[in-house]
Amino acid sequence: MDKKLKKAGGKITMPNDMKERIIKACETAEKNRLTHVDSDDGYTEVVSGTERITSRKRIIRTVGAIAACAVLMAGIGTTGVLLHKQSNKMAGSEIVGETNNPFGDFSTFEYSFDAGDGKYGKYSAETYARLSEFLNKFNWGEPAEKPEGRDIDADVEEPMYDIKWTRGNTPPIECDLHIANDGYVSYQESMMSFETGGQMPLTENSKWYKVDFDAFDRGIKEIIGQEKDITRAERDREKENTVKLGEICVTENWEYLIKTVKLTKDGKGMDVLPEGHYSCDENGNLTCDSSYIIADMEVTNKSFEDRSLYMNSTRIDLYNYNAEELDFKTSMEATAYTFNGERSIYAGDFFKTDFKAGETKTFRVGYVIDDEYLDKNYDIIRIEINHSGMSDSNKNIRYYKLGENTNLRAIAHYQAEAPTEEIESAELFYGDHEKLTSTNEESMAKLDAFLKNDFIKMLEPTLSDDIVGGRKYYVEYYFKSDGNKKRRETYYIYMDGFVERRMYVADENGEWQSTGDESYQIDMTKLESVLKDDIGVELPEFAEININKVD
Amino acid sequence: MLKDGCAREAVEKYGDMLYRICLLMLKNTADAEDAVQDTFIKFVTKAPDFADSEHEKAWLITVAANKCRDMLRYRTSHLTESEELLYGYAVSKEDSGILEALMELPEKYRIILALFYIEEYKVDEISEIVGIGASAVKMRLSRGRKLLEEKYRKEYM
Repeated sequence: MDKKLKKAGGKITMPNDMKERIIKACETAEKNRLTHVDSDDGYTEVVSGTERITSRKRIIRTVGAIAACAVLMAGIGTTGVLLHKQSNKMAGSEIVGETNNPFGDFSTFEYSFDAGDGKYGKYSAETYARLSEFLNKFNWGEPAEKPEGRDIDADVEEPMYDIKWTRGNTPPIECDLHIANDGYVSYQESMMSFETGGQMPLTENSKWYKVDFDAFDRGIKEIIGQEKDITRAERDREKENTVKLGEICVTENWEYLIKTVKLTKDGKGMDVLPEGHYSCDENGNLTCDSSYIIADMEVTNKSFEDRSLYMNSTRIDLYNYNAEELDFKTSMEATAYTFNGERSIYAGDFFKTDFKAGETKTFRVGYVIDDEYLDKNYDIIRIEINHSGMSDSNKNIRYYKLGENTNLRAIAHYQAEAPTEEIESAELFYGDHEKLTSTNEESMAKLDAFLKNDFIKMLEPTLSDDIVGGRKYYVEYYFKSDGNKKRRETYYIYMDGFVERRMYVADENGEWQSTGDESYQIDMTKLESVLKDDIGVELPEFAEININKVD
Repeated sequence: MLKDGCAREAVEKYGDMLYRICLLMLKNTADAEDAVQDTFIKFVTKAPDFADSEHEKAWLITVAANKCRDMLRYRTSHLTESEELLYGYAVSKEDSGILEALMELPEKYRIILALFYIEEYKVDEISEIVGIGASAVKMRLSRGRKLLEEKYRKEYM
């Protein structure tokens, strides 16, 4: 990855036209340096006749500024330079609020609150409502003296908070409030200069305050802590893709089942010892000098066609959390070094293994792990399976939760009681909801046996997804396993024999979550003959609804 | 080392490097151009006397990085360009995604990873340039690398 980053980064070069613009700007700046004069009030103005340096962003901003300032300019008939000097006296620039805080009632205007947490103020309306209440009530104190040696733009170490808002609109005044971790708060206003398009600070309105930073920090952290953040959302997403030991993990019609989790210290049972994790003694015997967690993983191709499994990666995550945030200091990951060296072919970034339709193979996966991590307790210990990373890899990531608040050594004796899955019910429907049955008990039993044993054998995989004609029948299967995991499969059968297979698993709340779909073809004449003549099902006359027909 | 006032030579020599750093930090071509332009203007108008070309290069990176940080801090909308921005730079299959993943990391990791892996600065040199302790650089390097790997593996592989 390091080399990849270096290689990709090295390809970023500055476009030639950009280079020329910058060179021109530098040459202009060099010329202007000799013609700058300082005015009495501390603003630097450019003597007429010299060129102005304009940045790309500023060009865009200036177009906006011209529109915003045009009315005002016409009204007061003066220059942009004069405009910014008078701005603090303009009507509408005062914020009137009922609170005593010196910046106005935060609940009455829009502002961005950047807590330096990488979210750039992207919090919910609820969080902003809480922030407004807190900021309004917070004791900001009286304006303080400017701290010696500090600049309003000082680069203060984290943590630091930044609040920004816009006041008025003729012209708009940008307000910026910085709360530094030493308790100094700087308040600065700025306004766009018509002359340059840049933001000009209104230094006469700048103020400093000294506040109790710890109290501020605590209050803010408490409010932001209630926000459902990305990490938490990510954890929720992971929850949907997570199964426990003993459960079958399903993704794209591949089924994974972890049969055993063991610990080995001498490499015994490993197909391959990875480079750097073994040594060779005088007699030429290999000695494994790492501990391994070995997981025997059973993978089944649940589709009716031969296909290849592209195993992208798998690893053990040992994670701790501080509240909702992943604690990188104490967490670690152990990457798998072998993925069944015997049967899998390493193809590019993937381990490719060929499967026949319905075939099951057991893979022995070895995760190298340092001894120091074996006995430490972790909030979550899980195996990540990144299956088939060809595209949309995120969608295919699944997690096996090995345990919570426990250690690897405790888990590493796991031996699965092989869960068995059986068909709980199989039913045939006509049209949308009409359940089809037989006339007598014997026929009923025949139908049940046909649906459970023979119907699926009549299906042929097809790559076509063209559906000609309406949906005629559907067969619905409910499966139940030892682990109380529920699964459902529905086969929609269309007039022309096209069959759409949809698969679902029940989540924690009993909601059906789709796990994929496949297309098949069935011989309709044969199917209907078996149902009607062999089993005795009364099949209704099929009448397709003509949507173009007007009564 | 460059002569005083030779803007063209400076841009030719350091332009790509500074643009790379600014683009990775700001995630926006127009902002990156502004930052690089301001850096070179400062260079031609206010640069101190440099001891050697390494000092000169480090000075430019420091000014550019500070400029980017200022822009990030005062940027109101934090608009960033789409991932397509980078497609032109990393066209080969094996490279795709790594820069996008880097761009998605918090700024404090981006600059450290870019300086270490792309510009090949050492930890103590990065410490000088960025103005944080060597241990903090190591920490950010380690966490940044982990985050990058995680993001890259999950979203781009």
